[in-house]
Amino acid sequence: MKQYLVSALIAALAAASALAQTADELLAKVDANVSYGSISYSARMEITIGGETRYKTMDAVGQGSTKAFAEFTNPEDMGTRFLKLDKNLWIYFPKEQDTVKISGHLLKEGMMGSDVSYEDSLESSDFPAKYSAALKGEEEVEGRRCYLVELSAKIPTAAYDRRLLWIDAERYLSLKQEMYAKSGKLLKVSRVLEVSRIGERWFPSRSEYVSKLRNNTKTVFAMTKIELDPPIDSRQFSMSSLTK
Amino acid sequence: MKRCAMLIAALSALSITWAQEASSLGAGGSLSSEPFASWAEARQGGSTAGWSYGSSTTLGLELRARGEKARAEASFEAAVLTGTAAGEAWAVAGSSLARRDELLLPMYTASAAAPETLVAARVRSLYVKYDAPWASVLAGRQVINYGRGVLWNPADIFTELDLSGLSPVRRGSDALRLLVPLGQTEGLDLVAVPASAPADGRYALRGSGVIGSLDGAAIAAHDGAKKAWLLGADFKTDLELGVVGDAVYEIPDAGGGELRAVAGLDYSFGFLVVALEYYYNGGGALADPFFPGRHNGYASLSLGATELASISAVAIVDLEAGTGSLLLLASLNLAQNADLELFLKGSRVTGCDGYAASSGMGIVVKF
Repeated sequence: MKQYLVSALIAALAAASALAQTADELLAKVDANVSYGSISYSARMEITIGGETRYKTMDAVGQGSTKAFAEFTNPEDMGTRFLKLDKNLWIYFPKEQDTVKISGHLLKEGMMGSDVSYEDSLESSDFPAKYSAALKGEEEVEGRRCYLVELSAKIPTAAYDRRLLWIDAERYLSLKQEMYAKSGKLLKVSRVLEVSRIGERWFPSRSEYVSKLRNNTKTVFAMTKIELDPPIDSRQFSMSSLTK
Repeated sequence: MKRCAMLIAALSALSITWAQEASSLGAGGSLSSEPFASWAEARQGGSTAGWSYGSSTTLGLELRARGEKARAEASFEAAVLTGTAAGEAWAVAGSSLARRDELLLPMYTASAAAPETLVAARVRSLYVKYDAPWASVLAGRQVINYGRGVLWNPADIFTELDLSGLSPVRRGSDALRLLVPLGQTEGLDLVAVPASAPADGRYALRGSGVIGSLDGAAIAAHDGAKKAWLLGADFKTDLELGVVGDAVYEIPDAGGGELRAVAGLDYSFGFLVVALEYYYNGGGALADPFFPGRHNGYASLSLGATELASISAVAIVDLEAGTGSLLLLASLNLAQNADLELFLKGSRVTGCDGYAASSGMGIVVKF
């Protein structure tokens, strides 16, 4: 009997290990699909609050997961620029010719009134470094077969304590995400609405974000003119480029 | 003055030339209208109190031309002021606090002392910028905007703070500027604000950089008008709550010295954002005529009720004299390009030892 129990325990541990490995492999595949050396794109952000919709447009470039630069092009915010360098974020306001560093306590606020927080925009896609992953099974999202992966934060600086990812079983993209606080409260839900084929990769080009901390709001982020790994002058990611 | 006009004319011509070569041209602006009612009481020389009305309608225009290496920007503002708004602007223009960059034209004057209607115009910015691989040159009217404080920036020896509207506005300086980036976040900034006599101008060298989460800068300057050297520093750091410090020590050529310094904090509790600042003005009215008290305080509470509506309260107080103002402001985003603002402002003023209050609304349309 004792022998049977030990064998069962070993088998269970082996199975758990295999599942964990599979979840890590899945994350690695997702990462390979959506990570880039550099990126440039234009975007339109549609922020819906109640029945009211406001839009913002921008041109953006990024290098790896630590450097990004965006300039808003809609009339109300024309010339407003963002620079992200690692964990630091600055905003340049053209009318005031003023550069302001965003304080840490404001990073959880919605960026430019959207459901995407400054922290979301700063987050690198390097999930394996911040979360331990577990495969929870398979589910369908929008008619597509997905692996359900649960991520649990293993470092205190991770943006969310727990995340659920629905990963497309064929294209290795996270089609849906739920982000949770330490208390277990659901904070945010994101869904991919459109996927584009760029070279050999599948890339999420239109996504919806819903902050559960706000009432009746959502933000649709649509990317166009996406270029992956274009040459970008590294001087673009500097304080001086904010005022150029 | 003549030199300044010549500089602006030359810059305008240069801007047009560069604009023709530029790869992108842009224009935008805003129109805002702000009718209000005021009540004021003066206790000195017998108590008097009364109501008055006024309005301010402002058109702002912005023009931009951007090329690969050169850029030209201009922004102009023209306002029609009536009633109390006209009277107050006229009174300020005749005082030591007169704005040097504003042109006031009385349209209708019932009495020589207080025009009923006034047109106020100013060039907010008008500058050209050229980016060489190793440096950038800016010439013309620009907001230099040093310092990290939300309201006060003693380390910014160039920029004048204007609190006549619902939110603080920093006024431009006619300057020649050389910006030399030394890295991703480090740089040197040389500024000259010329005067008719070169010795009366203001000249500064500022170095800035980032260490970890600390943005910092140090400045050394000479103010020819004051005949004084100024040494200053400012920083903003992130200890989960934002912490700012900003100080300048003024050393007159004649000897002596005085300190002006700001310490501030900002933090948020959910949707409520709080900012606090303390300003020590060791030089009194001579050093800062807009905030002559030695100890001053600023507090701002801002509540984002929804993403389309916010409520804020801002208090600015001379802690020694017990004078100051409190502004309550509600903002509502009506449409993609339109905002509605409702305000109530109360103040206790020195001189007449009285109280004043005003309330009104503003509609801002951006295009």
